[in-house]
Amino acid sequence: MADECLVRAGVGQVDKEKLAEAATGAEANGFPHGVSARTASGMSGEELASAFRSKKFIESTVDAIEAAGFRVHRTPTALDPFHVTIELPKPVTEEIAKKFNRLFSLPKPNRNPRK
Amino acid sequence: MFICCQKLTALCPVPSPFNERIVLNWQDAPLEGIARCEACSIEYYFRDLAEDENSGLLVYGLFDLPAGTLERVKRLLPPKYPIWEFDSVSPKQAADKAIQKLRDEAKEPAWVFATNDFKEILACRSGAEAKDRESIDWIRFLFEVAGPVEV
Repeated sequence: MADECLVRAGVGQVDKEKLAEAATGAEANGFPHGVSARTASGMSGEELASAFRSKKFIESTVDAIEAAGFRVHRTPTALDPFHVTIELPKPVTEEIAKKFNRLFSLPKPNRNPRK
Repeated sequence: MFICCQKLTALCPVPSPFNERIVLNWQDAPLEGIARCEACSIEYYFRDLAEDENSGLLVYGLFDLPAGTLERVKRLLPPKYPIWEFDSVSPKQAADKAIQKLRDEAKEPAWVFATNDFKEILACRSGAEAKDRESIDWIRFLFEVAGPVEV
């Protein structure tokens, strides 16, 4: 997955409470303790974001996420072969949330959102 | 004790009765899958229809399924479900085919509901009340207040 584009749905900065809530929910449903993203070799951010219903997305790379100390797990679902989970430490502290948010671009328009 | 799915419209907000479920798509929340009402055991295919990006509110459609679908699909799930990785090709093909059939048949939602977290149902309406489903604003459909009554 090295150097692959990675995208998350939504409007950008996420506070520690929301990150913790998402990570807890993921774990309760059988995923690693973390948050959802999409990545696939050779696909652009816009292509990956087309699976999102949201009108905006944020972008990073697998390399940047892992270099910052977060693990990216391949967690394909039945309907999304490019789903990955960015593992977050427990508990999700303010410092972790800041570090995580810094890894992503400003929100970009999702020109072809899922209907 | 859960409120039955058939009574959600009148009683929301209420705890979700859809705790028994199979998740087929996930993005920080379940997007699509199979759920069973804990009160009456009716099963549905569920699919996200809309979201409010600022509040995190999600709107789902519930599509009728034959009784026993959830257990039937459970038997097809991969060892590390919800992670969709199988030990060989044939079981994956069987599971993919079964799921595609359910998706193809999920056309008209029996119910539409809103939630922030799938734990509490905030609003619910019969899908039959929705007109022009291709362009409908589902959030407005759920939360709109009836206009003045003509006398």
